[in-house]
Amino acid sequence: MRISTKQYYDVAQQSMVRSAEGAYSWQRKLASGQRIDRASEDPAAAGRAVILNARLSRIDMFKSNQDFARANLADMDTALDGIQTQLMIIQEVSVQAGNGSLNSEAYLALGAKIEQAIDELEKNALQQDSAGRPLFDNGENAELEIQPGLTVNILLARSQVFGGGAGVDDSDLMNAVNAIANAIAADRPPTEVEVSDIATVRETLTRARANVGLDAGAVDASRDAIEAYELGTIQQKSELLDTDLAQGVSEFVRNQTLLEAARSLFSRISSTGLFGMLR
Amino acid sequence: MSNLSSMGVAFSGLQAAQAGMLITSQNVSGSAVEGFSRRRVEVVMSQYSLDSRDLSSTAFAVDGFSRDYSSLLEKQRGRQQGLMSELETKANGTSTLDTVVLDAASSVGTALDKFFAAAGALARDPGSVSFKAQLFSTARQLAERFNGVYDTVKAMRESAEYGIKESLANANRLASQLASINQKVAESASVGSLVPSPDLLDRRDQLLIDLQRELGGQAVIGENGMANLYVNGNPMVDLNGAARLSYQAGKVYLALGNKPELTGTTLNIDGNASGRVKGYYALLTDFVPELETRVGEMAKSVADTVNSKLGSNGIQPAPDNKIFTYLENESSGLVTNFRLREDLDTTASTITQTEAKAIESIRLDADSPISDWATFTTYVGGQVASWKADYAAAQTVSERLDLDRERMSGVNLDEEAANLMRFQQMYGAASKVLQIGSQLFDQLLNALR
Repeated sequence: MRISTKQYYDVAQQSMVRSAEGAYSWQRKLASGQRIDRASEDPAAAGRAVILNARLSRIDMFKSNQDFARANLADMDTALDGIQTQLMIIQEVSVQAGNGSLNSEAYLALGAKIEQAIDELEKNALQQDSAGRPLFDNGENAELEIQPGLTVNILLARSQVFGGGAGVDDSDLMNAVNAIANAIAADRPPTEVEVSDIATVRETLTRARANVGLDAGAVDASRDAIEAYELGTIQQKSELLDTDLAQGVSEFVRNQTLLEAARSLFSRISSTGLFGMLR
Repeated sequence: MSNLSSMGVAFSGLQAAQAGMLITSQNVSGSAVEGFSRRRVEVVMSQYSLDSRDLSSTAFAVDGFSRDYSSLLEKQRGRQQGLMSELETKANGTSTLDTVVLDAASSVGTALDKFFAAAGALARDPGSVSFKAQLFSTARQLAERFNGVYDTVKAMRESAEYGIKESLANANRLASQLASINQKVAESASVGSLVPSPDLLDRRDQLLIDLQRELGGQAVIGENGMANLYVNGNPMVDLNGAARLSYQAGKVYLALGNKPELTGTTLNIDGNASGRVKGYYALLTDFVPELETRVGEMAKSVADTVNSKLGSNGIQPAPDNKIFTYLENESSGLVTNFRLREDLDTTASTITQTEAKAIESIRLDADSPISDWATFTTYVGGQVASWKADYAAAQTVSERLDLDRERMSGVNLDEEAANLMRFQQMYGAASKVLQIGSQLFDQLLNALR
């Protein structure tokens, strides 16, 4: 087979160019950590990456929602705890007021105590979240999605917490508390019904607080689930788009070795030839 | 037998050696020249002795110079070069878009994610002024990203239009040069030479390949050595006539001086057409319009879907209750100029929690904009990857053909060095014969004194 001199040089040049291209390509992938930087390098992976990025963006939203829900639920729990504490005080006062030996001054002192408790209770009932919304209001738009298909209530309806009407003033809670306050103001012991009403609203509160606790637990559980989901998605994205370091290093070294060999061959070819031997 | 005849033969040997050295010097010099074919000197017996008892009539002469060449290989190379140029043009012409669709800094996908995330944040806290501002800001960013893709596609169109005009101008120049070479080939044949010079033929073949890199087509070499090139039956070079091609509004027009009936006809850039012209033409007439349609449809879908979720009169100024606008061409249906509504009052506008939730949930739809963008990314990547793969395959074939040509027509410097020594020896030997012949002649003359 006839070989032209240009063929020697062409083959050497082509192998140098290809090895240099390969070494550069792997160097770039190793330096950036990205397996592809053009859609054409892996069109299916490029399209899939768009979907995975969208999924990760949604996961971020769920994590923010969880943080927000956790803060609101903690605020609600604190507020409900405060209300329950004040109700216990009011219950104690109503028991003390039931003692038939109290005089007007004693009723006055109990009345002051109960007013203070009511003030505290109202403060807790009107607590707001970090966005400035009342924690206990009409309960509208209260659902927040914390993972796909799972929502929790970050705001509660007053009627659900305090019983009765939609406002604080016309709620069962305030009616019961005000009935005790009115009895004491009238220097008389609260009736059995009035005392039992306090117990009833306390039960309602306990149920609401239990629900808040359940939702808080759901948020914690959801956090674990969403983090596992996030990890899986990141892993999928990494498999699609990130450079396999072991493969990258070995390919880079292989191309560099080939480049060195091609350079060496080129140098050897350049230094031989019959013309060089003519005297 | 005569002493004079042996000197005559030796003289023809000197001439053959001189011709050989001339050819060797040309081969050495032309070894690195693109399109140069190895030359050979043809030494023939110009006179024959008729009788075995008398060799004095035998004579040698340099009959001419020929080249080592395969017309089949040249044809294959021409076709392959056209194909490679076409694929390379397509892949290079779409290189920017290939990067833009994947790069997070320019991808519409990233902007969509941010926009929907902002809607999600507003749904969580609908009273938040900062979340509302963020939603409008990401909406503006989304429109800008779409316009960035529009601009990239527009730049592709402009670049391809410039490219096809430049390529056609180049093809016109090459066709004219080839027609001129054809004229010289015809003239060289008419003065009695049986074969045109290797120089003319090498130049003819090189011009033909260069022309096929621009246009593709089918090369036909006539018996007289003139090269014609036809693209889908239309002559680009016809004997000594060269076509002039021009591009206007999506069509390539043809004009040919020696065939006036063809002037003004449109050239079908399909069939056996290839080369850079077909590459640019395919971008202009297929790929770019497809991209424009797809990007426009995506933008329209985003605008219509998002606007449809804004059911109340919260967006100001009312009652034009939308945040995105676009222009739709009535005849082509092409959507352009996707943007945030120009008179949108982002401060006075309000978005309810229900609306924000509805906007955020768009990304869950089966045919969501994100899914559309993923399909678009795969389409662009797949198309460019297919061209790149075809180019790599064509390049392998082309390299193989180039090697085959080199085997046939390439110069081996070792071979030339050996030939040089051979001709040197031949020249020395012929000189020696002349010298001895001269001495014999002198001896004979001296005997007569």
